[in-house]
Amino acid sequence: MNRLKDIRFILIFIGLVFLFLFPVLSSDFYLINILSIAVIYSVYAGSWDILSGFTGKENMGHAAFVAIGAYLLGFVSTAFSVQPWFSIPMAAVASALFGIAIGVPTLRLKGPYFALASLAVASIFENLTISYSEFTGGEEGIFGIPFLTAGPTTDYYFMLIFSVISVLILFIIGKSNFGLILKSIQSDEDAAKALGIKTTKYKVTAFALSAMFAGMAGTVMGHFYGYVGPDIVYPLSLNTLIMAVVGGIGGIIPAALGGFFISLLTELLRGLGQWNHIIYTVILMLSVLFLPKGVFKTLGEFLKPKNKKNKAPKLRGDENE
Amino acid sequence: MSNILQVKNLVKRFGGLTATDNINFEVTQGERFGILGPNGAGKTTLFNQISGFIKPDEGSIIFNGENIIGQTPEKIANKGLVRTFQIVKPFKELTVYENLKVTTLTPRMKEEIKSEPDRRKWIEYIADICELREVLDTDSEMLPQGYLKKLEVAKALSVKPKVLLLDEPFAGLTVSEIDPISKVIIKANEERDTTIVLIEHRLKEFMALVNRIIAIDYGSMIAEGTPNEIVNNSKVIESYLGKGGGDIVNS
Repeated sequence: MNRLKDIRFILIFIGLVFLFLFPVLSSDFYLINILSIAVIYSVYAGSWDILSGFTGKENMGHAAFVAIGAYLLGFVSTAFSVQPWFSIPMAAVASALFGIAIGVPTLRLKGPYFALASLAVASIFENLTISYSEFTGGEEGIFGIPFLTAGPTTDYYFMLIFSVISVLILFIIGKSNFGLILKSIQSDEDAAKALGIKTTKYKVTAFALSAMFAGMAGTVMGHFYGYVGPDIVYPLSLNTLIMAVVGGIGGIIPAALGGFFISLLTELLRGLGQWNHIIYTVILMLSVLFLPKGVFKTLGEFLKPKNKKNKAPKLRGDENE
Repeated sequence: MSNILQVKNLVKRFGGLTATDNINFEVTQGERFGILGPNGAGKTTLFNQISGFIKPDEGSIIFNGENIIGQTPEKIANKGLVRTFQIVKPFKELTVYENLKVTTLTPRMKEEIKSEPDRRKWIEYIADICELREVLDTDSEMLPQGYLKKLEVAKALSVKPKVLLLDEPFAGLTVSEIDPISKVIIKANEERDTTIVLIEHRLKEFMALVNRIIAIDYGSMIAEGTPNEIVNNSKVIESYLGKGGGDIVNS
């Protein structure tokens, strides 16, 4: 029942109710479309966070995980008309395995070295996509993928429910003991090892989870457009990173909200024509300057129910600091 | 009384430097054993080898009847041989409670603690022993050095070690801060039957705490004995004061 006193929980609940009622309130298909895309971005950003925000490995090649889901769907759909109930679990398994395959050799890399390695993986994928255009369609991509559902409204509900469940699962994982161990590894891996934590196992699992949700979201996106191509996959490496960092990392929900709102912002700013990039950049710069912990993380901490227990007692020896 | 930890002919070279030069010692179940030596004598390197962070070049380390050379730090810790670090390693972004909670999620403790209420009870018990109760909900990065040192010992104690390797738990503390940690170590040893192996520089507190000592310098053993024998050993005095130091002290 504590949840009911938590204003953050109430706000998110109200937001979700609004999203679920939106098609009833409005029949503007443009808005329904951009909301559909925005909820998928919340999964991209949330899945980035479970690896990078929790273990401190800044992944600059998240698009590679998305590409596995999206292009696998593309390849399979050239052979037969694949439906979401089959393609999404298929993407989950393939992406998770791929995440492990990337995770194992890069385990020891930290900071900029890991970032470079992940960047390289995504670049290799992008180049392979262009080089092997007979399979991937090159710049043009693969068309003719079966649509998600019959119409835009049902698409919207499918994507909304998929995203809410995905982000909720990631959030619960982040809050769980598993998430706590990931954070301890981020903080000090040697200390965790010295206590007996099998750090390798946890880090590889984080890779698998991150890749799994990114890959599933990529597949959903492919079904939604009826198309996969480099333009909807490869810009994601940088975009997801920006969305998650601006939203706030290490808590899933702030990153997911970052994904949702920045994706919406990008779309809505498009109406402003030539100014849109400048405004977008200025908003990002201001948020990073003034809210370095992330917009939604800062907001969340501000709205957190005040608990007397959280107050630090006066400590002897404070003057030593 | 049986030997719980045995180090035999241990050698570790870094290039031309022999950091550990044929070290031999045995630690008996239940004792408080000390390792003494000036800065750079190779004490921490010795701990790094025992806890699996560095692989020795030669020799064997027998823990509880099993040679543990070549095993990973996490595997060794799960067998009950647990270390602390000289430079404390709290999980900074986590509260003290969460720091201790991580320790209860190791394979070793998962078998014992299965439910969340049991986990809380255990963490509170450890916090009581280590006098951390009042800071349980504080972020560990807010803690002053004295508390961080206690937390370092508490984390290691919380996994119920058979042998606890303490690397300079008093370094950088004031005399009034040392006393509580000293008490924790004695409590862990007497009430929980934890064997203690201690590296320390603060001679007065160190001598009061341990019952047997080996002294090392330049990677090799120079003396072994009770605290009293060690302080009167001329080689040990020389290692701290330089050649001829023993004669000056004795005169």
